[in-house]
Amino acid sequence: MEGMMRKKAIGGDPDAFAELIQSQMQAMYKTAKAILVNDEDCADAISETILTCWEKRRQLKEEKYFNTWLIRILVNKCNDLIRSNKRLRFVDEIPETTAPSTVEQNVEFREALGILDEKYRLIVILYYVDGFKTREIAELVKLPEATVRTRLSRGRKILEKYYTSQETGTQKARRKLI
Amino acid sequence: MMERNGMDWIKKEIEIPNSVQKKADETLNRIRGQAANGQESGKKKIYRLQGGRRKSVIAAILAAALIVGTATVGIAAYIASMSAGLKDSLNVSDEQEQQLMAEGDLVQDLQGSDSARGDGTEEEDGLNATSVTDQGVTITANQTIMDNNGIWIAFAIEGFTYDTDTSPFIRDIDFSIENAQVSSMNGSYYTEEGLEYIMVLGVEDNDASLVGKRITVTFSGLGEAVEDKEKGWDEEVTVDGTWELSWILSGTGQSREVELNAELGDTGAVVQDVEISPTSIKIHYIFPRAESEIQTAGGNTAHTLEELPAFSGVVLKDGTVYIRIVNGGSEGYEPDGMTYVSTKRFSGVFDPEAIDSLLFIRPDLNLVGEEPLTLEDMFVVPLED
Repeated sequence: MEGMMRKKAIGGDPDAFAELIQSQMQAMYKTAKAILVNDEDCADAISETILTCWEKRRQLKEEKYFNTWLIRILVNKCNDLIRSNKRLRFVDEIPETTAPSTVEQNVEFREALGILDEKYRLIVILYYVDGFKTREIAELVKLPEATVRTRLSRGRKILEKYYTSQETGTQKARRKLI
Repeated sequence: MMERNGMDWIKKEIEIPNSVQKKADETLNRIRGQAANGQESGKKKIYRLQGGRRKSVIAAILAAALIVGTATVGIAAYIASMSAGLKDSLNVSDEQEQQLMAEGDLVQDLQGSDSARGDGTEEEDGLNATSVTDQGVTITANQTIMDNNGIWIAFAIEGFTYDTDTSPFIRDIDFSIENAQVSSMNGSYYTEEGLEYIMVLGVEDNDASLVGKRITVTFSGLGEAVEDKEKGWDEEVTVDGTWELSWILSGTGQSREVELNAELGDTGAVVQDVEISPTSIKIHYIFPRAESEIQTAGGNTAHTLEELPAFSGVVLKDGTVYIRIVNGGSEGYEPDGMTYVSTKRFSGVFDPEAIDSLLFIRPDLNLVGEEPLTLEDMFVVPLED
């Protein structure tokens, strides 16, 4: 079904395109948030990405790559915004211009991004949320694949350690084989 | 499908802020409106940056998509059967052959594919040669199977005759892949149906996929080899020709990455993650480099690396067990002295998604040679919880 929708979207059906974009809003917002300061910037980057994907849709030869293609464009849009000098980079202490969400999942997600160093943040999101392979991440962020794997592993350990210390009386153990 | 064990919480749905959702909705509504009026969007931008770098990155992404797309179309049009030599080398059954050819992604037909012939520019077409004739002998690169760790290539050799009491022999083989380090090369001759040379190249860790990269293979000197039990092989070049073949690699680089962090018993080794491709596997262990002393036969003391449980086989989701499937590979420590990378080629073709568990040989078995093994001799590492 999703494949059919992608084909229709790439073929120029605006309703199918909209449905496809809406299905990717979670991934897009989380990815943009991993790079940019505030929600206004995320909104701009996502809007630009939607436009570019609609304009360039016919250049995508394989519809099954739509999702990764979308996120790649989004990452580049976010980086463009940073380079424009009209926006500030992600810094832990810069407050949101609008009141942040108090929904529990949003708080948890924001905390997770907050405890991760910038160099781990995007890589963790691209891997665990967007489903990119380490080789694809390496190409996108212009780092050796070995570095990506190391940062992924370290980012995960930081998150695990943080959340383990938050849990009461429970501790995640490594799987042990006999 | 990706396995992202233990991080499910990060995928939980969060509330998209109103400002973000609203702007996205406005953009989509504008696209709908313009499409309804027969216009393309993009005439009015909310925010538009200029930058050569941004355009070149997008162009590179679209070019990569184009290469993959072109190869797939080529395969569907031309491939009917697999090279006999490839099929034999990879122990592919008739049934599996039908499935592989029908899926059309893994086996690349160089004689029918546009991608092997380059991007259609005059410069690229001039560089590509998948079939070369010299001294009356034609060598043709027919098919490839490529995954993230290496490439199988089937070369057909026509017009070359040799005494049936001898074996075919190639004096020199040079090979290179653009911006990639080839770590190993093995080759064998298949003589049941015509003459084929089956080459398998192992590739070191790369920053990017091999798709779209140029490969060059040069054969020099064809002849006959006879085994002399006392002197070894006696080789004679009978056709002193040179055949240089070059083409652009194509394929989909199908693989399955799984993060495991699985301890292998009390060995101190941890399987950190694996990348499984149809014909190979790459394993990252955490296993601090340690040496132990041994006594040699001459009574001297030597140092040897502590033994790491080696990958041996797989268990499929349907319960089928393949105890020994390794057919060469390469391995070694990364500079940190902690991460050990092992790349192993399979002696068959496996669907990465069909694998349930990986098998690693317990190092305390003191094996000598190819003794029969059972599951009891293995650490069994499930890929899913």
